[in-house]
Amino acid sequence: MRLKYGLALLMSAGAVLVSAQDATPTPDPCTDPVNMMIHWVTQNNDCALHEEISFTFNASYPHDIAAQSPFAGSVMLNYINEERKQFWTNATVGGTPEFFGSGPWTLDMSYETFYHSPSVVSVLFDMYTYTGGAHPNTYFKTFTFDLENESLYTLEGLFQEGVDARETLAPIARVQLQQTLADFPDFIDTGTEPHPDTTTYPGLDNYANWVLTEDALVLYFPPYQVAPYVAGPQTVSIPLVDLQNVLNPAFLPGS
Amino acid sequence: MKIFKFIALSSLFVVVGLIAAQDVATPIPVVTDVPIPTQVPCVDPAVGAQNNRWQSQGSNCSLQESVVIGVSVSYPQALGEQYPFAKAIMLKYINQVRRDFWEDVDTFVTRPDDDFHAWQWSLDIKSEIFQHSQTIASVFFTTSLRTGGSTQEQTAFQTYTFDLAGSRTIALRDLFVDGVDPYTTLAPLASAKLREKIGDGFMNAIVNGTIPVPENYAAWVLNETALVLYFPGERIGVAGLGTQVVTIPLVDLGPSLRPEFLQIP
Repeated sequence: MRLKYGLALLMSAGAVLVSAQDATPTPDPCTDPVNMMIHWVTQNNDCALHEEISFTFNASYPHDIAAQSPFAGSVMLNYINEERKQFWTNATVGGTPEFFGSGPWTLDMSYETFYHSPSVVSVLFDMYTYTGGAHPNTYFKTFTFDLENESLYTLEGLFQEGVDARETLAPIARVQLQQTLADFPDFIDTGTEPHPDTTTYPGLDNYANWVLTEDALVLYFPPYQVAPYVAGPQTVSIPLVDLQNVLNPAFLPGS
Repeated sequence: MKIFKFIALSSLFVVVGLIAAQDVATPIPVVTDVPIPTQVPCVDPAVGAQNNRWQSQGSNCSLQESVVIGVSVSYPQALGEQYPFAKAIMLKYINQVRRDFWEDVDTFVTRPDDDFHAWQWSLDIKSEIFQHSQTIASVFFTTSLRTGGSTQEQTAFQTYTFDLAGSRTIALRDLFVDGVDPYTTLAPLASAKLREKIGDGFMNAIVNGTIPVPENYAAWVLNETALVLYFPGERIGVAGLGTQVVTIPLVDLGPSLRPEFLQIP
């Protein structure tokens, strides 16, 4: 009995080995033995290679705001031109396609406008980019213009003298973010740090992106800042009335 | 000196401006290096109206730039599969052209201040096989390249004739018996055929294009019964007429040719 089982086992093992040999893929006759990564395929009676890579840059900005305020127009164009230049400078393929992927390399700069008042308007630039990594990415840039005075607001400029805007906003932002991103407390703490160490990342500002709506200050956090990439970008909307003790009265609703 | 005064005064003005801004929360002026846009909608003044690529779309000013770079190559599969030496030779040529193309892409596409990014980029290598006999085959590659703003392609040819039994390539000289110069033999024949085809009006260009030097006879194949020469139009002064193909029956080359190439099936 044991012998029978032993023989059966041996035969099965043999069959597996034979089928494993059968399953060994025969090399594609079109493979380039010297450059195995180049993707040749058999097509009709030919060996064929098709490679394509595309680079696309799209940008837009609000014409009406630029027409109303040449200053705002020049600030937005200046920013777009910098981004554009950077994109095309980085659009390097650095060799042949098997080493850099097929793209499409993309930078899409779209925008949204928010009116706090007829003369105070925020423009949010939303950048969607893919430059050959594991996935695309998103980042933001915001400007808040005073259209009458042809100037730009800073975050500090919204607050009363002596108020540390970032120290004020950090705890509020953390509370809101923890409601939806409870699994990522470390991400939130680091990404909302009022005064992060800029030794490693010069110029790092966790509160660089914000807009003023009619009645709220909205903070924008790109992916990775307060949560992992999969969680996407995050926003925190703070009603201006909640900041009434620290905000410059000019920005309080109804002022 | 005036410049220093101006800078000092400007700095003072900025500092005072900043302090005043903090005091009363007035907007902080930001200086940009982009000139103020003109009244013309959607023109980037840094570029000017002439080269402007911005477009007005509703309430947007939009800019769309795109480069699509494509490579398409083929070579005869059966020949490559059965004769690895031929495959290696064809792939060496293809890989070199392909590598040069991507290097050019790398050099030019990434120059944002120029218009190179708006160019058309493509490389297309097509192949055709000619069988002279069971053991002699020619492959004719046509390489079409677009690397510019114009839609005109640059075309180049590359040919190989393989001795499949001997695992080697055959040079033009190898077709002829010892002591016969292939170029001086072919020049009068090619010149006469070209005159027949495109007329005496191009005589000077034809003479120059068929001077008996290797460059003029670089592209050729052997079919069953003839030696076929390819002359790019620009080489013989008829760019507008395209490539000129001259077919010389092997029998016409008679005793100049090695006997094995005269054994017409």
